[in-house]
Amino acid sequence: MQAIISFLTSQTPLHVLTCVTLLSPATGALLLVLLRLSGIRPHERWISVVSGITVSGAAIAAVLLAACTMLRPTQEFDEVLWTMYSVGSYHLDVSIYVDQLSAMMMLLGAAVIPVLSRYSGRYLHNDPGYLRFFVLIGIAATGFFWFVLGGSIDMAFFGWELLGLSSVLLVAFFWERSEPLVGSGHVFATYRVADIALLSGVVLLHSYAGSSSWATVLGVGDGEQLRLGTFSATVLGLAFLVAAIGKSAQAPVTGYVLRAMEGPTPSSALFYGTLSIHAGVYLILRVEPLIAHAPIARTAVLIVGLTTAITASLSARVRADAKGALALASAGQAGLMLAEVGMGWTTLAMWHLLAHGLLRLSQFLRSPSWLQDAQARRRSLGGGRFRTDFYAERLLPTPLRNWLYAASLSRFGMDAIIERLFSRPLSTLAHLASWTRVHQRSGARISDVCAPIQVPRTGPHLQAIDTQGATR
Amino acid sequence: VNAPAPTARPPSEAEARVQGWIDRLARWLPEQRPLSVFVHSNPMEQLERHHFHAVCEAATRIRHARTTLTHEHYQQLLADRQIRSEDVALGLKRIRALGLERVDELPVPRPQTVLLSTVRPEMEIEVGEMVDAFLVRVLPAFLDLGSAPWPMPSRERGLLEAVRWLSRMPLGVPEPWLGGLRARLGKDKSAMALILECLEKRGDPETGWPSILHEALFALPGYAGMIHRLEHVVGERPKGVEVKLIDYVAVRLVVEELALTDVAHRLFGRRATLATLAQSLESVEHPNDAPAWSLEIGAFQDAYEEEYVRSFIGGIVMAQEVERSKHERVDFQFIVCIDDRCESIRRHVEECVEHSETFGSAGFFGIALKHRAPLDVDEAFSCPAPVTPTKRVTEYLDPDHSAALIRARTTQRLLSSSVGDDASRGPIRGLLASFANLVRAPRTLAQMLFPELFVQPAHDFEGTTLLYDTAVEPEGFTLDDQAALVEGNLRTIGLVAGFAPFVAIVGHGSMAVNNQFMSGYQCGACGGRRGGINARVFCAFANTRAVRERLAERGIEIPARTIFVPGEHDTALDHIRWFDLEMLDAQRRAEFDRIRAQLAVALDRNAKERSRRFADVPLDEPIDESVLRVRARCADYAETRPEYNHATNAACIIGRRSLTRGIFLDRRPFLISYDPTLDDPTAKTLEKLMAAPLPVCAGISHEYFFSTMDPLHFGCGTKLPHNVVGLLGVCTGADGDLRPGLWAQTTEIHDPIRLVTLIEAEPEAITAVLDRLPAVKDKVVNAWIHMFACSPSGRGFFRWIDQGFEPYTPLPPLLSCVDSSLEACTHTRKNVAPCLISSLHAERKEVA
Repeated sequence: MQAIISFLTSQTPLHVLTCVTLLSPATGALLLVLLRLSGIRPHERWISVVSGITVSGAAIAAVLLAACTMLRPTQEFDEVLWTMYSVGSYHLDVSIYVDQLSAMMMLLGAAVIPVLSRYSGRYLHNDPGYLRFFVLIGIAATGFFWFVLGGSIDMAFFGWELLGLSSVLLVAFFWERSEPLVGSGHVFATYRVADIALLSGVVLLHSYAGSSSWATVLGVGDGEQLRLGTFSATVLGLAFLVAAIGKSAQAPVTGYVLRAMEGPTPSSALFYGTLSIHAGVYLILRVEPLIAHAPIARTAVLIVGLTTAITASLSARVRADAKGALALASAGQAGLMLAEVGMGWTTLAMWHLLAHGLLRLSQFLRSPSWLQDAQARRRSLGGGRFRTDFYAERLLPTPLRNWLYAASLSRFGMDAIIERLFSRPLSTLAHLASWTRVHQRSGARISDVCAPIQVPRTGPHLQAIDTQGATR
Repeated sequence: VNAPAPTARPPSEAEARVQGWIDRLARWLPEQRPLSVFVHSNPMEQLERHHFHAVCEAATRIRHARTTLTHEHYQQLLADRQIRSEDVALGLKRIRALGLERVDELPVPRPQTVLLSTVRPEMEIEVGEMVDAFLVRVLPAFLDLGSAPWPMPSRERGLLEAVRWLSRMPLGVPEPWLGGLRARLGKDKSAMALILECLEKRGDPETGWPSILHEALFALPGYAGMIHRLEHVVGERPKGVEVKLIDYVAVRLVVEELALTDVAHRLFGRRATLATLAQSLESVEHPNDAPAWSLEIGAFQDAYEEEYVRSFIGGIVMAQEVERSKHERVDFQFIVCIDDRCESIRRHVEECVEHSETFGSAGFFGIALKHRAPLDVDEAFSCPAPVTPTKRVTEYLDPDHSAALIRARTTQRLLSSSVGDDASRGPIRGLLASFANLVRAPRTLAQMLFPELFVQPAHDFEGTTLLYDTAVEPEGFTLDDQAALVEGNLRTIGLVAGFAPFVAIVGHGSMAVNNQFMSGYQCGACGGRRGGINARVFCAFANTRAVRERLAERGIEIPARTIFVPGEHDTALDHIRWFDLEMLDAQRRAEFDRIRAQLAVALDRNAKERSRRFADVPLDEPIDESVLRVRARCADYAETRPEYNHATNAACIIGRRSLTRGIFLDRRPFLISYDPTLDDPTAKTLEKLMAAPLPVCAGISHEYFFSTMDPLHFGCGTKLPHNVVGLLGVCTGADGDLRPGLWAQTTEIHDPIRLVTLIEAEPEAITAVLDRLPAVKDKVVNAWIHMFACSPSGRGFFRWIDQGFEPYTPLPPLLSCVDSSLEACTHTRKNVAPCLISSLHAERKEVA
């Protein structure tokens, strides 16, 4: 028994598991792309099988990896797999770092991604973008595991980018209408701001600490102390906070999650219920030792988290639509997790993240049942006690309560502020630039150049069933 | 009260003109009932006074929607010989001869009219998006039927007042460009006054106003249509809330004006006004990108439908040549809904259950009732949509069960209000709900992975007793009512003699998880609900001795041995749930169980027949496996096509079963039982059937027709990104317009054909009935449906052309002959032309 455990927790099997986790979903996605590029139109069943096997393989490997790491005496696994290149003291490493936190996050991903892949295999049946969807899911899974497993912030950044890219492309999944494109533009813009913040964090971390490895920088694991001073910790903490605000839809950019609801239901569930929305929280949890040393950053995390928890939850409560309410409520819960980190309750935040991810996944996937569920709730009101729900706002005096309603409906004017301060000036600038350029070139009207999106008016698929010839 | 005192002042000329245009244009708005009571209806219902082709043409102008297939598609069909060129030529001649007038033509606006469509491309700024973004934030909360736990305060006095209230609240309307909204709306200006003010600033009354109103109404057609409907149907509104289309138009125009002013400021500086914008529009040409309708494309559509008419009516005509004989012995009578989905189950019952006969009756079996399930808060109307029932039926649950139910519900409520879905929106309860969900998560995930393990027929309550008699329920039915209702329905379907020992009255419903359009799958004749309760009540009436005595006095002798058995057919699961079987004694029970065993075979075969339309069920699979697959769909959260609903509907037949028995009709016709020989000389029964069930069938067919033609404008597109809003409807994304109409996952196998109606009655009788039913006559005369008559006295077939019936003799198609329904269809996923089922004909001969 002892021998088995010591073999499992030794390096070699862990390496294999790591490689499977990191590469399997990407291989699946690549295979699908190659199939399509080679002109073959693979059958739906094969697409979902390829995606299912690769994604589940990664998930199983991730669970085993997490389990084996937890069996080790140090409960950690920190390893450089491959140094891509080194210049002087700088190394760009492919390395992994597993501890309790990343193990938990891996468990969430491992539970969610294969279920979602199987669900989507049936949900997207007969959709023209079937293959594209599974390629993007493969990319998202890759991004997620690189982000979580990555031993250095460089690798985490790579995963973070892949996750963002796939989510933006999935928002724009139904590109034949204009709203998904506009929506994905918003998501993309917000993510870019977050990316810039994270990238500055990467650069600053290199310059302050001389390393990008989590274990080295944060001094976790080997009982080392944090190498950074309070000032640099504060600057870094704030940079990571901005990144987390963007990714986890915290105040004041919460509103973008509503724009992101344009994709198919499973992608909304995966990104805005489970993975993306928690990626920012995970980042803050990961750098928590750093934030603990920077009181200003720590307070900022607490304030942002609490603000979002309250405003987003209130906005969710006045939303009359299923997915909008769920998306805002998820952002609110992510805010609460940040607040927990700000208070120093990291273990609670970690478990909260895991439980909340599962809750929102099932709520999003069940959101087409919203009406039946509402009817069932209404039905259950008959007979017995406890007829009304209790909500805290009912305690407020009427004028204040009414004001709170109006403000919650407009999400406390946050979208308007962003629009006023950022979007408007930027778009004016862009318009000016393109206006002068186009006019100089040809004197043509703007509308000639920026033709509206042509919506294909598809007729009925009279023989849809036979032409696809699908048999499962 | 801020609302202006109603004055007796007659509307000014301008007001009358504006109101006139709003009324005319509002007829084109899609009218769909809120999602919880969704049933199918023609999106163009209010325009049936105009010719079908004229409306198709006008819809392309007014809705910018497609009402036909594409030209290329028709050419392809022509090349595939699915359209005949001689039909196209004939159709073209006919449409030309009609001399169609253009319906609701908008005057061409003068160049200085400020229209969003002209401002937008030129200024490259999306004015419409700014306006829509504000409205779609407010409208769902305003119209919410109970989705948000915190409803909008002060919405009772209407949208205009609600927006006024919001504009007074700090952060209520935070958009900088809407800063002037409060001042612009004023304190007590009426909606019409605001509309006139806005219109005057933007264009000329004669030419400009209609186009501005047109844009205002059709920018968010889903919400405008829902508001229009709720304005007229008080019962579907959120409680106590005033809903008016004119309020919406006023708010929309004011917000548009502010958006346009903002655009003018940005383009021409601070001092610019709408007038500046208007002047800059001099040179702008109005874009016209609407899909065009032409006489030729209309003729193509006519020819396309003609091909189906030929095969369908031709098939029935040919089948009449086969020798037929009357049954001598009937052991089982099976009465189901007229639904096209019941066509196949009727066929399979006739094939599988020995000596059986089937009938089609509207699924509420003629009994309109208010019904309250045990301990329910709300009372449901179980009857067709326009009827308001006056009689009540209560389901009584015995005290033991009832106490258990109360306990269960108390727990359920405690759980849902602390850790349930609604509670999970709040910060603290969200945290609790997350952890509480860990208990439930494994089951949910398991059902997502292996739905086949979770299939369960819907069972609400067991062992309830119905209270319907006036003796126990004050608002119930008297004995006379009961006898009259039973007699009425039996006479309508033509079952007045030759009762079998068992008469099954089977309503229908459908069970599927995670389906936003659930009520659309239920029984339309029961107002989008399950029909089991009506079947139970009907049987309870018909089994009463006193009722039978009264029936006997009126000439309907029901033998003592005959027993009516109520059931409910789940059309997705293909399972019949029987009620009140305890009334059968042991011997009768054994007899009935024998029939049930045969019915089980019929249900499995029906499931197999349905499975051929699902592209993910292999055609050549053994029947057992296909049945399992079909049933697993009902419990599958990921299934967007639990069943194909009415997707294959194409026809409607009112007549005796002898006309269609033994013909495979591929689940395409609605079958309404009617015996012309029992009807009185003025055809009262036929009038009843043509007044109620026929328009319902036509409505279903039309909704499918238009949703198939233009999934974007008439349909609601693919289900995959749908989001349920306010229990009202669906939108795509979180902030989109409501999308009425049918989803791509059901229209994908639909052939857009106007309903082909065949009535077994003398053409003169039908014409006389039509003269008494102007609404139905409109449908026939204006070519919204095809109308055929089959003379019961052997004069042959007739077809309605323009103003009257003309004899119809189709080119006889070849009818193939098959052994069973399954043999006819399980080799292909396409539509199958009518064919003869020899087993049923053999039985006829054997009986003879």
